[in-house]
Amino acid sequence: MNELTLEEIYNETYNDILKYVVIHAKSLDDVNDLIQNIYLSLFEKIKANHNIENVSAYLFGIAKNEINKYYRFKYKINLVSIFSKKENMELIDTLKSDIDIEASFLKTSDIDYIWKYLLKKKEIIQKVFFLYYYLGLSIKEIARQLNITESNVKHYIYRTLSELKEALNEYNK
Amino acid sequence: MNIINKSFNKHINKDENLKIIKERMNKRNMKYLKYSLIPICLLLIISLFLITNNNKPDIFDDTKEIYINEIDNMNLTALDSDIKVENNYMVEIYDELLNIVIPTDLNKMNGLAIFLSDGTFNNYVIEYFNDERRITIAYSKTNTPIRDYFIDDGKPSIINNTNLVISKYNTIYIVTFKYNDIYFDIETSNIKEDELITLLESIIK
Repeated sequence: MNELTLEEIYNETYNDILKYVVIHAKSLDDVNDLIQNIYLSLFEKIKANHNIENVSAYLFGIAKNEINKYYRFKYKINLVSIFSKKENMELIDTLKSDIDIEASFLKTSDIDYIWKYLLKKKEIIQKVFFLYYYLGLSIKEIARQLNITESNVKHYIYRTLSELKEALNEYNK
Repeated sequence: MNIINKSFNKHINKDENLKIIKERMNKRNMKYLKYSLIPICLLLIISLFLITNNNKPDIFDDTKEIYINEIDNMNLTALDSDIKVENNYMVEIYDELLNIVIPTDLNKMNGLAIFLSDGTFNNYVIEYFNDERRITIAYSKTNTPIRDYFIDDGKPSIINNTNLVISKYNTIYIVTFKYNDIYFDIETSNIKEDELITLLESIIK
């Protein structure tokens, strides 16, 4: 199997694997390493002439193992609920929904600031943002994937956007 | 693409990840190559050591450089029927052989002359021996002494600026050289290396 075929596999499966990794990783900061390890493992197997009938299924198997390994060696799995009772008491209706995010973020230097800002947020917020803004998943799909309510997804998006806007204003002063 | 999307795209970039994966694959290949090179290098070092060791003289000092050429087998030549051995012939002892050092236990001596089948003289032979050990010195000013088996040329040794080839087969040493225009062919049986060298140094001065 030549390199072009490896690239084709990469291009065809990247978004699905990325989504899987983002959902299961603890931090967005670890996503690149995980993605690289997963594909490296697959490509090595292919190059070693392993007969892989269903590449996609095989790839998800590798991804699962990689995530397990990641938690085994890097993080202890946190079994505590991702939502505290206090947070659940906050209602989506109480949040403003008229934040003009594009108008708020105009400078290129803000790109790095946003990344760093989101990395400081709880893992669930990082995931919601990535799935929503980068992978374009619907609120409903994000809620299903992360096993939280749609209200909570909205809550995280709007509250974090609001906070981010204020932080950026401060940053740009 | 909004700015949050751009932020994610910059830090989790598909193309950049593919590039890094390729680099890591190349690095791994280099690593495997590196590990596969280790035994090759070791083999090379051992080979170099063996070659160097092979090139190193067995004995070396200011006056001599001795290489003993070990041989696996000796090919018999069919010369036996073409020569005639004279036991009662007056063997001429050249000056070079007057003061040779022979191990004292070789207390028997014999002299021979070798003629070709047509009656032409070829070489003299003197033998020093006992029941267990023997030194046979064949020599001639005109011909290379005839021997009944053939040995390949080996790495030449040097004693007092004279080249000679020393071969060893089991307990037999064979030395061929030309010194003072005399062709020598010495064969020993059960003679020690240092005894042989002493003998040669007593001839080649």
